[in-house]
Amino acid sequence: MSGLPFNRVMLDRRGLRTEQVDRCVAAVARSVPDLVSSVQDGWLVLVSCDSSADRLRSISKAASFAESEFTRCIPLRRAVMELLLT
Amino acid sequence: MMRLPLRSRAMDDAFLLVGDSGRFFAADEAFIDRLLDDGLDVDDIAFLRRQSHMCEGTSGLGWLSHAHGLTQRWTRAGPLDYLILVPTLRCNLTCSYCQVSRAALDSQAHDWTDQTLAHVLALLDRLETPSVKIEFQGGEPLLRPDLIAAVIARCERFAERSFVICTNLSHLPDAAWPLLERDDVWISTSLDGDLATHQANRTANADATNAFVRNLDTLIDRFGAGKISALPTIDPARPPDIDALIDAYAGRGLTSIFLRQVNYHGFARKRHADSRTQGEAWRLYYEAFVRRLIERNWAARDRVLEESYLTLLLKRIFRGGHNRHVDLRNPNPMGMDYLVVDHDGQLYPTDEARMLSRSGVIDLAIGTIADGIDTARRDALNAHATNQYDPDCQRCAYQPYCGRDVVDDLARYGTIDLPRHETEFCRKHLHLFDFAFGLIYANDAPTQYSLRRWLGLAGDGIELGLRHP
Repeated sequence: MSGLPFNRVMLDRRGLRTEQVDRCVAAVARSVPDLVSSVQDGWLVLVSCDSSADRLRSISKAASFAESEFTRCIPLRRAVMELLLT
Repeated sequence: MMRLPLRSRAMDDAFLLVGDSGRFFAADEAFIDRLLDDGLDVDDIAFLRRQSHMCEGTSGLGWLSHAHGLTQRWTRAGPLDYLILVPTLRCNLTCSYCQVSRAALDSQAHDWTDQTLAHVLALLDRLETPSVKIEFQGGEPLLRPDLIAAVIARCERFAERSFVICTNLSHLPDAAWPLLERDDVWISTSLDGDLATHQANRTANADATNAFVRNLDTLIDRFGAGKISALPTIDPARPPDIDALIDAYAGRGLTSIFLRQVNYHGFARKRHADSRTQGEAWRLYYEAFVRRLIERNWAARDRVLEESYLTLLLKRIFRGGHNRHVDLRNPNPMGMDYLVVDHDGQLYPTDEARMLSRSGVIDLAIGTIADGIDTARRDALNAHATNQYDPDCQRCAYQPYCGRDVVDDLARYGTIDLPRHETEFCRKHLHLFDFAFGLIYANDAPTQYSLRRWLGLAGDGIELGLRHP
């Protein structure tokens, strides 16, 4: 294993539900194919061999934001749909 | 004050944030943290208001503007005005990657019958639009110039009409020339790069290659390069040299190149089985090709070369309402404004759908030219022809620009019930949109020069990639 660039990122779950954490991991995995993930003590732990730690952290943060924003925006999107359908 | 939805995607040095109507900007990690913590400062709020990412409640002008922006991102299919007609499935070439599984040249059962032609003409008579666009596909449609001529003659009543003959240009019969001389007829053909590559992929021998080149160059000399569009089909296992490929086009005045990997349809399903996915080698080749176009555009500014699909993506990023390209739109209503009439009179929602039926994978016919559209079958396809409610797409920054192609999913996986990010359609477009935004935010003059011209912008003073200050 020596010499492998082994990167590990811990991300605060920020109150995401389990299925949202799963989806967040899937979103990160789109950009980081060898991603390994686990949840430990309220932190989402992401590990990859081939992505720099900074890059992995950015991707993880974008995915985390996407999840929290999705939940926040459900009523807004419903409201605009109602406007467009009336 | 209400903040409108944003979606995010990590870029190399920043975060891309995209609103539901497609407006976008880049920001740093601290801004993402403030969004997550609901801790936006005065400057953040001023910026978001200025860029229409915030508005006053759900009744004012800002909210209506947001709703209008959303509608521009939704395809509203108009009446049928775009037909793909396949007068014959016979072909005089035997390309290994033939995606339509062409029929032999001497076949007796792969041309329209007189009855099918009569039904097609009756369909044209029933169209209620002032304009019509017809693509003649095959097989090799110029094996039956009489059928093409009959269709074109029936379209004289349309105020606007255009016809595209998709031909391999291996043989131009005398009867083809009166058609080609028309101002409303265009030619679409294949040119796989330098002549050695073209011959290896398509024409098979020197005589056929020379005949193709002679026909192509004769048409360009006589009618100008604007009459012709051409596209290469690339085998990623044996891609042509990039400059040789560009030279084959630019040397003939053809400035638009649609760089296309072998399509996983027809004969290619067996003979190019690896075309089921796009590997890293293809993606690197694609990026290198576009970067070379950028270099050449900067070095010789008397003409602009483009990769057609990237130009389409850029237009969809920057402009709502760019919804007539049926391979990339959302929703992607099938069998509505666009229809395929096959050689046997079967109706298909897309050209790829007829290829799948021909391959025996799944019958996606939605009716016949004799009996009309089977609306139940069409509705079954259209029930899922949107990315609007897909759980992956709902979280994806590129959703406003992207599309949905259930036929592509069926072709590759035999089902549409897959997590979106596991499909080739999603992987391909994630890569292309990542690449496009990398170019938009590239801080170098040659890239910005090409981007502005691909977008048709008049000047060089506009900043394409907005950043949160």
